Amino acid sequence: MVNPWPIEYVTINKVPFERNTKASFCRRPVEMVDTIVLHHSETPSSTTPEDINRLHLSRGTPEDPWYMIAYSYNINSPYSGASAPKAKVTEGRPMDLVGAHAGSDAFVPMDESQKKMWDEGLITCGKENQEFKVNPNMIRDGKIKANVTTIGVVVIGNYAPFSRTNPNGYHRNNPRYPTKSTQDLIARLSCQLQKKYPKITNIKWHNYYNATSCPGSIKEYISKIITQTRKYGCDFK
Amino acid sequence: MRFQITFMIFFVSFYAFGVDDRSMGELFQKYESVMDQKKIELIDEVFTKKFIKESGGKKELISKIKSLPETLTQPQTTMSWKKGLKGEVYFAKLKENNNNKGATSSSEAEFIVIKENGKLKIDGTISDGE
Repeated sequence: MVNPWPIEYVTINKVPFERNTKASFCRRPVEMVDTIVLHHSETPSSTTPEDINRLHLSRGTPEDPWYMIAYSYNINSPYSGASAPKAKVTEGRPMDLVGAHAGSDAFVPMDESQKKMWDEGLITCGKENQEFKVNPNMIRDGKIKANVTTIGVVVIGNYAPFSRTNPNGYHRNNPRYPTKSTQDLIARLSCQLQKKYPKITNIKWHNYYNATSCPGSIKEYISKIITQTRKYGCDFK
Repeated sequence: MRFQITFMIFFVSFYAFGVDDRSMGELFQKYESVMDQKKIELIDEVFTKKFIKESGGKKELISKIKSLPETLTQPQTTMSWKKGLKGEVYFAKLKENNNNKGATSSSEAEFIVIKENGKLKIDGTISDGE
């Protein structure tokens, strides 16, 4: 079997995900993507990508349901001091499909190449077995939906403190941070993605785009993760 | 300190057989009693067994609840909910508007609610942005 990755810093598992064939989704050239957006799932660390897919298939409205898992990559990794779950990366929504993670109201500027791809009508939306069309709602004031130029990478777990709006969070007396191993896993995955898709040069986080507690304490470690990617020969902003 | 919690419940789904805004509202009133008034005796009525286990057990969950800092003014809470499109799962959005010492902020969370032994209970929260 041919390895699709130019360099493999981490094994990426594939699992079959159920899709809602009645749902709309959007296609894009992978070259549109320039940013990795980090999330935490806010669920227990033992949650599987298939569990998340099941939840996401329940999301939306009957008129506008979700197509499949919103994230492109899912990282399972144990909390500090825990031995489970086994650390692994699982592919989620394929890279050439626009995700559903940054927030539908988040818009970002396009560079020249992204603008060209948009102008050429390469970002299209529709349903399986139906004609795909350009959706003008993807653009606002010359900016494009952040979901189009980003991919969602979720670290499965809850890295925010317990609160009224986060009852599954960690105890305030025992803060939870991504372990060095988890940071390294994020760095390896990010670098592997950059080696295959050189346009990906940014690592951001969910609440960069939206007012949310996601990704909790992971946000504090992004500069360390970026530094870690340099060890693998990558360069992120 | 007096609690003034305002619930505004919007019935979103017409597909929620056997579940209505009243039963969902009651669940979240109990939830706020647990979180704000530390009525920990209601924990089993509010959370699923799985949630309590995944929280580190009842003792740990109680400790977390008791660790919540006191606020000068209880947040005004708005709750809306809808039935999930697949299976018997409900998503309840809780939005808090905090007005503490004149500083206003808001936060929201989306709760996963399921039926356990015929009763609605909180099974967790979910963070996804669409």
